[in-house]
Amino acid sequence: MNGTPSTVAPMGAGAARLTRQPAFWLFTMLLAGCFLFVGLEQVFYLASYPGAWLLSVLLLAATAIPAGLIIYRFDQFEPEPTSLVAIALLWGGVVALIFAGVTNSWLLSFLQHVMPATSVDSWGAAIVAPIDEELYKGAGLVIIYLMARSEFESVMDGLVYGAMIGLGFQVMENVQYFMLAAGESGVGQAAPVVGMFFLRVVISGLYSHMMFTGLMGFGFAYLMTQRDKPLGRRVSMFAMCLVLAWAAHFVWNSPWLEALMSQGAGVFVLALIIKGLPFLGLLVLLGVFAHRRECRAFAYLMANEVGSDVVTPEEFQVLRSGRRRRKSLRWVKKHKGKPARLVCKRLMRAQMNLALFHGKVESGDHPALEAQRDMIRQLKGRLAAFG
Amino acid sequence: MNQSGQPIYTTRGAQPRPFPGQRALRTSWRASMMLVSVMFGWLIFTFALAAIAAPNDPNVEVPVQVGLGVVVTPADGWYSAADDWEVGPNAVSFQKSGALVAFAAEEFAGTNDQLLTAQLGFIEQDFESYRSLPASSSTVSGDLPGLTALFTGVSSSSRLEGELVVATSAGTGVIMLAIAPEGQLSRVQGDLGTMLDNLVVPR
Repeated sequence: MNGTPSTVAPMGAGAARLTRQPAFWLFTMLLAGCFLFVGLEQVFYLASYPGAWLLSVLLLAATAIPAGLIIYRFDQFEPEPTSLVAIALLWGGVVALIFAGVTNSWLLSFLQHVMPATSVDSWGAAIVAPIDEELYKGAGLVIIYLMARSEFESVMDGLVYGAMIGLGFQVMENVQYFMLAAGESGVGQAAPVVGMFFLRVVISGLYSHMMFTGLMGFGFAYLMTQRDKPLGRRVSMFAMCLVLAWAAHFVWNSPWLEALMSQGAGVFVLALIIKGLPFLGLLVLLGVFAHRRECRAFAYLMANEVGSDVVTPEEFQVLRSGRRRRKSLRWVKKHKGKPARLVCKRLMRAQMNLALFHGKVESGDHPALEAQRDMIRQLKGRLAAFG
Repeated sequence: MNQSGQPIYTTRGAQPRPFPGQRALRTSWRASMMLVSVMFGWLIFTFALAAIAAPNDPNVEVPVQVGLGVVVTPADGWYSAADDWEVGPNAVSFQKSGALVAFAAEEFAGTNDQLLTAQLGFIEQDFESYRSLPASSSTVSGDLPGLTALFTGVSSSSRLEGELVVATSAGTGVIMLAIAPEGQLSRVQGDLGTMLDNLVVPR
């Protein structure tokens, strides 16, 4: 959380800044081109299997929206702008999906002409998909960074953007799988969609693209944001995360444990857990590491504010923990009512934004900080009025 | 800091926030163009790889003796499934993308109907639940009349679908049995048709 700001801009200026970035216009062009293909594909699905398509959209929305919200809340102290989150989702679900789809088929065709059929049959997906898909999903991280460097401030940001790109990719890829299942089954449209949903979302949803690109996002953000660390260390960390993302995808697509998978539903699920859980565990560890860094940065940035009328030590302890914030909000709602809870929530956000502003200005008496302190005082006054 | 003389922040309406520094605002076409170049570069590279390798085919489809004079040529991408599916004498098995197919030949003096009924009876014993569609006529080895039956069922907790094709000629019964996970058989039906067309059967 550092930078060299020079002035103050109102909220909403971010979108205007975005349109001044060449990367944004390149993204827009790529999105428009790829959207044609994705749109046509979806229209075809809707026309061919309307029931299955609608069911797919409903099932995926029911799981992807909560998953997106959970990822969004990973970064408690500085939630990412919704415009950039939308760009990440669109990149994964439209741009990366199309580019990876085309290159996957060409690379697989190449393998089919240089490798024995038995090897391609077993290993083709494990070789091709990680190379192409991780490359194009990773390009999304770069383009977001080029669009809004100021929003790429910590490793947590990379993890969130990476997971969002992965989520977009995963959702649209799942639609393709669901429609394929519906098309190939002669037993109606709902049953194969539900079966595929169970397999790809309920059983193995956590071990998929969200995890792969989340790992890569962590490494990319470490490289780009941890500028106080030696370059060699940053590059090594990025390379390690890249290899991990690729390896997780490779292991997931590989035929390893296939013999085990054919021995019943329980063993099948166990095999999937063996394949995915170690990498998921690693991502969780990196997430905890990123969260602790955020907490430390938050404490550091708030050091001069704690103890003032803006943030009391007790409030600071509450602000540091998501669990304590939620508990505090519940208490306010119970004892002072819903409107008070809303004011309290805004107060907490304003206090947390104060830390964010500290990270962007050089002096403690910067006008933006003064304005933010005034806002906090006003909100405290409003909250006190509830009794 | 505020050289233009404009207000440096608004206090009403939108919430003020610090404006990012020059590094964050720097716009560069070069970096963006490099990224797009990598994306399209990889696209072109994979296309070139596929195009260059296209004439090369490491999977030479060699005709395989089934037995009793019956010969089958596996379609492109099919390879032996002997390790996964033991089919006994006068039979061979192949696999591709999770689908399995076996070709068998046996001495048989009856009709196609009788051969089909006998084979469906054997298949039914291997399934916990089983359902087949009425048989339809087809041709094998170009013009040899045969019968085809499609079926679905559950075997060892797996939902499978299959296709059974039988034909008789000169005292030899020829059988093709293909099995794939439910929803997967249609992917390989073109290959199965090719193999049946190219089947060599003694007349």
